Amino acid sequence: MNTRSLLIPLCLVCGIAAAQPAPQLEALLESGRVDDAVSALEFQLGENPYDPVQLNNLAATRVRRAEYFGALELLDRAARLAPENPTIADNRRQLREWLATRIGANQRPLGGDALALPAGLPPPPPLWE
Amino acid sequence: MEALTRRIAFAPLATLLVAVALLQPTRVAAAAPQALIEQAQFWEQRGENQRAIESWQRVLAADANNAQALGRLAVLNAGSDPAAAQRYLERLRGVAPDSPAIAQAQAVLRGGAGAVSPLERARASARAGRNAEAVAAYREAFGGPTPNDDRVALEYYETLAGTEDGWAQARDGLRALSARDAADNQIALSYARVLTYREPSRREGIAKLAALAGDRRVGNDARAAWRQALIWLVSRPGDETLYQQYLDTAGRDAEVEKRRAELVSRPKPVAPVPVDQRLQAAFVALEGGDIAAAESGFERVLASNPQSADARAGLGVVRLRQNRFAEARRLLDGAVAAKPALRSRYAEAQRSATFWERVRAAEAADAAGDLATATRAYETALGATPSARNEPSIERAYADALVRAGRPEQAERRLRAALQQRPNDPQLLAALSGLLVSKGRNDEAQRLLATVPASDGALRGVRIELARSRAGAAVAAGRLPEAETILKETLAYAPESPWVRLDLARVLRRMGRASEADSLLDAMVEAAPDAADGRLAQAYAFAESQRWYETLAALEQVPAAQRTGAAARLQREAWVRYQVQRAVHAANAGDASAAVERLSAAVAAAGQRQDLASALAQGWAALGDPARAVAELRRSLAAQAQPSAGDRIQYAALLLQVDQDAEFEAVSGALIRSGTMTASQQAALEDLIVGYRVKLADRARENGDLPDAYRQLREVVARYPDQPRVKMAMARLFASAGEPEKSLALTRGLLRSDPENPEVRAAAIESALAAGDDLQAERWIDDAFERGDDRAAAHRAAARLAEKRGRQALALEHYRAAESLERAQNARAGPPMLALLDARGGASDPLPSALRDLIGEQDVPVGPLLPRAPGPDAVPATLPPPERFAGLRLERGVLSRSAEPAPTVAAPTRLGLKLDRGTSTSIPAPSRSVAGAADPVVRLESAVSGWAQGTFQSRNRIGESGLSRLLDVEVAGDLASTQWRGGRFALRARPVYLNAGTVAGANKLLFGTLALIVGENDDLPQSESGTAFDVAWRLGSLGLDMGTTPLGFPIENLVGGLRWTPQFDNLSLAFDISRRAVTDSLLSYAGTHDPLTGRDWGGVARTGARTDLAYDFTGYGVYVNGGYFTLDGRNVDDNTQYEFGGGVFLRALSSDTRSLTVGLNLTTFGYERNLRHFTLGHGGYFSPQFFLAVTVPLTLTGTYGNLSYSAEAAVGLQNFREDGAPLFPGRASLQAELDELAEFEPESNLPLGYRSQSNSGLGYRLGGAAQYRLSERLFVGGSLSVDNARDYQEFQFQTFLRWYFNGVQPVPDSPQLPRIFESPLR
Repeated sequence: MNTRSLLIPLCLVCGIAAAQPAPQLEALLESGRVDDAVSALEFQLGENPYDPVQLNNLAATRVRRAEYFGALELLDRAARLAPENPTIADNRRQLREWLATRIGANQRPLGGDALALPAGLPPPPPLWE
Repeated sequence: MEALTRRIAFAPLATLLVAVALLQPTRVAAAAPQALIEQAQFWEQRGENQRAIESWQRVLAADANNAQALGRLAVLNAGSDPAAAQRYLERLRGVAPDSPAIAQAQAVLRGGAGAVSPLERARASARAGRNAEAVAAYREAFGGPTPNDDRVALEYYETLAGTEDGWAQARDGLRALSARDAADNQIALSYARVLTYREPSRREGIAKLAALAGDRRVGNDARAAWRQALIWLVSRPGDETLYQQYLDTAGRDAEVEKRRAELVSRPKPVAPVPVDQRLQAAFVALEGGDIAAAESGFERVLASNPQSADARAGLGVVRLRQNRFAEARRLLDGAVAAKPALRSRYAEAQRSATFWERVRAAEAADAAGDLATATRAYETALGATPSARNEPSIERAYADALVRAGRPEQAERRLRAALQQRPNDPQLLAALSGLLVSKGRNDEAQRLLATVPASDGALRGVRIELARSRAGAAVAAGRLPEAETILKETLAYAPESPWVRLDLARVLRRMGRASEADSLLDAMVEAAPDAADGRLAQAYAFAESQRWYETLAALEQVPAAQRTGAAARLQREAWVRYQVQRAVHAANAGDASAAVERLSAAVAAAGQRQDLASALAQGWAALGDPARAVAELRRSLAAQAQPSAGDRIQYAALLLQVDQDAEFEAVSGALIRSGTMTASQQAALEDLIVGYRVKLADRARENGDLPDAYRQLREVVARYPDQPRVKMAMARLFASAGEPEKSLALTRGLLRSDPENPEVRAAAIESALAAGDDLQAERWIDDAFERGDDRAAAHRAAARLAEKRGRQALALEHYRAAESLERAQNARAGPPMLALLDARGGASDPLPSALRDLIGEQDVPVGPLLPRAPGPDAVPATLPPPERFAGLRLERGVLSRSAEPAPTVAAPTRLGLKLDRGTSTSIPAPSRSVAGAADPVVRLESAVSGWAQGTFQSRNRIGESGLSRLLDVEVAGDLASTQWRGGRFALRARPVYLNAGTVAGANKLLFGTLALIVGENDDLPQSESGTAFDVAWRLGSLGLDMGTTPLGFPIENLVGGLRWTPQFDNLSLAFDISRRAVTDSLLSYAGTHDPLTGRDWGGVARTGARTDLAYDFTGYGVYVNGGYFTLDGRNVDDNTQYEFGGGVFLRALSSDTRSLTVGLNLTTFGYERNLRHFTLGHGGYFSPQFFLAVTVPLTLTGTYGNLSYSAEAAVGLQNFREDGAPLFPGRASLQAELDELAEFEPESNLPLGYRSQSNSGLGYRLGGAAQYRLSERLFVGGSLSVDNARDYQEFQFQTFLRWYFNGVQPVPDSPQLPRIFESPLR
């Protein structure tokens, strides 16, 4: 296998990741290449982990892989980085509300090992080293 | 310099209150606010702001102008209630305009909601060990370098003391505070503790701490700080008393004892050989125990003469005293090498330095868990020293390391050898007996200890351990009372031991004496002399009660230096489990982000620890991801050779939650077979199995397999008859099995015992609807709406109830509301499609709304676009099976279940058996499947639709021309409104043409009064026309109509009626009050003209009431009816009528598309007078005095595609009797005139009256009807029938066209023929 054959797919991924306008991403997603979209976005975030746009897009993509909790963490990070961005705020609100509803719908007792929650739940002290 | 991180340990609230109570009475008034202030500060320091606010408010209640409280309340409320904060700030400005708290509160208020106060930041930084950062935040909070509050000052100074340059300032500040309030032991403690942070002032601090050790409030913390200071202390000769004083006060402590022993055994300083004055002065200082001066002296000599062997040797001894053994050995070796003459003088010091260097290396390796290195280092150290001189503590440490390295035999040999050298050494005896106990050789251990007096304090620890071990063995063997006795005796021997207390509490808890256990644990920390040990034991106790926050708080009280590996392990476990708790809490509060954040933190902290997998699984399950929970637990179980029963039960519970039924059965079956479960675990598993059985029973019931459903529940009911979920399952089964009364009785009982349970309320509504208790169902439905239960389900129940009551429009409203709610819920069922952002900025363009609407909520398939869109779902919509009557039916001996106790599908089709001329009761027709009926909204949309209809009807009676013959042609046009909440209106206009032929010939004698002129009159054609109008209203089972007989007839009448048709399950009732035209003949219907008298007569109307009752036993039924009427017409004698009828019917054939009904009918009626003739005073209607008919009707109805059809045939015998009647009833003068005429003209054969007659004969009726659905809303239909009896024959033809305004109209079970003589809405 020559070097060129390795470089072409890599460049393709890099190219997608570097430009990554929403229409291209949408095209990837609509053609069912969700894993490719995730790889491209993760590559992009590897370059700049503080890019709220790519964090948002990775969240939107991971939702399609049913990775809802991971997606919400990404949106939380994106919202911290770009608190004024209405799309990120709206995505975060939608996913939070949906998760809350889903949590409520799944609240079923687990038998004899129910949690007895104290009234107030202050943050714990730091974890010991 | 020692980096110190210290936080104030605050005494519990109870201690504060006790302290307050102990104050002198004269000080109580002043002390009360102070106690409240301390309480508020306590909560603030715990981070519990709400409680702090409450406490500060209590301070204000006691002292309305307390500036401190006003300031704190302004700060604390700034985040959550800025308006309140502002109010407190204003009050503070008024009370204390110079208070520094004003600036602080203003700063926090400027930060707005969610701002963290500088004080909180300071504390957080201090907790994290970032002391410099904390000090800066404190100063920000104070608005300068000076604290404005004594309590905060303490924590500030202790934090400040931990910084590089802040110690002196902290010491001075605390000294000033201490001087100002010498009675405050909390200040004294802080001051003493800070003094111990530096070597020069450490002894002073130790002395102060010793004085505080007996204090009830701060004693524990003082002892802990005292102990720590002793460990830090660079000891010198004479310090033995410091160690001894601590041991005498606090009891045995291995570390302190070791320090003391080292000091005692330390070699005396060798007398120096001074080479110069400075060297000599250094040796003098060394001799005098002034290590610092000696160190300084030797270092100065070496600075000027680095080759000075004496100075290096002296410094080596200093380092030896400072426990810096490696440096000591290097200096001494160097000195001896440089000056061999010193060898004999320093040989002992060299040996000592080497020995301790190796011991320290062993201890370091041991602490790092490198047991191999540790044991090797211990062996080297001890091997280089004659055994008789070996430190017993080191021998013990070596033995401990050997045991932990898995070499207990070698440890035992080593300890026994050491004991031969030192037979009664308590350290060695303790170590060996402890080893024996750990190996279960309790008897040997006891024999060993028997050689030593019980009063020997050094062996107390091992005696305690021995007792705990014996108690543990008794617990394992289930001998709990024996364990209790052992532990109580041990507790009396060692009341300070938290571990004995913990063991005893555990035993008591297992014996069900939880309150005793709790009180034991409450006193644990106070009883334990070693605070760290007490806190650790307390933490274990909290952990066993799953009180994770308290566990963490107790562990935080353990000084960092005393945090063992076990403590760290417990802290990690408690931390992970507490974070899971917090995640679940956040999830329940709807804060998904916080839930995820906390659970992620727990996952990261748990690492690969399999014992925490179950906690994480619980968290994932609570966060709505049971699949991940199962996966987590499955991985954990796979990694364990012998997973615990508890973990496997939790796994089973999760499997049940994610519907992994087969695996659930396998896991629970294996658990039961294993026989390793405790009683509580068995109960937990059985609880799961009960839930599973209920699920299986419901599934079987829904599939119509009632026997299997009962099989699943039978055992469960026998074992847990009182469990609500079991009762509810039984209620559902009864309802499905056609025993709704039993179902209702069960749910009524459940509702009484658990009225707040929405599931129980839903089940009760179902039962009430199934049982036909509409009033009860209505009350419960209203209740469900009020309480905000599942609104969609409540709407569906309300819709069913409304439909059952005939309120279809209302039912439709409810169904639509339910569908709307369910759509909203379903919209949330799938994850949201999150918007992508364009990397160049901005959201990607969404689809135009019109296109979005087009796509709707359907999934758009991914992948390449196909050339042709796939067709609609190939699977045909399944129609429900034929709806019988709610509940069970017995068919061919097999118990089976109807699809569901569904509401009535369509209004009962009337199958009149007309042989008796309309007097029979309509029987309920079987309702078969109707296209579209599966969806109640579709069904009801069609049912509430209005319609327009045109009908042509022709009726032809054979009879005498001009008299009883009749051709009746009617064309009716109907317009019915859409049904709404208030019901439905309809209008009808009905042009009518009647023709009875011509009165001619002999018939003239029987018409009007023509007999009086012997029929000498022209022929009289009899025809009439006019148009009738009718308006009707109907709501549910109640109908009302009003109209006229055809306007244009010689005689016109107002007609109308009120009809109520309630339905009670299989019982149908009808109550009818009406006034209707009698349409038997032209005379009775329209009236006609008598040419001789010039009068009109006829136009008869029947007015009265009638009741019908039918009961359907499913497959067959009975009916009865009765009525009473009066009849009146113009110039017609009045009449009365009674009627009574009854019969039975049997559905001989019933399938989805057709039904054959056969019956036996009896009809009887009678009139007061016979007025059926056509002379003046008669009404022209059939009015026998007695009529009886017994018929056998046969009716076939069915559908074929869009065609509905019916065919009916009835044959029977009838008998009637008519009285004779005068020619002019009620017209005595005319009748007298006639009699006179007949007398004068006897040849004229004038009739004087009508003869009575009695008649019996055969009668039959044949008829057929059809209706065809031309489109979704357009129908055409017609009927043809012939009714025949002796002297009576009628043919009837009808055709109609009907157009519905809305909905997809179903093909009805049988033709719906217009009834033009009745209400258009009947």
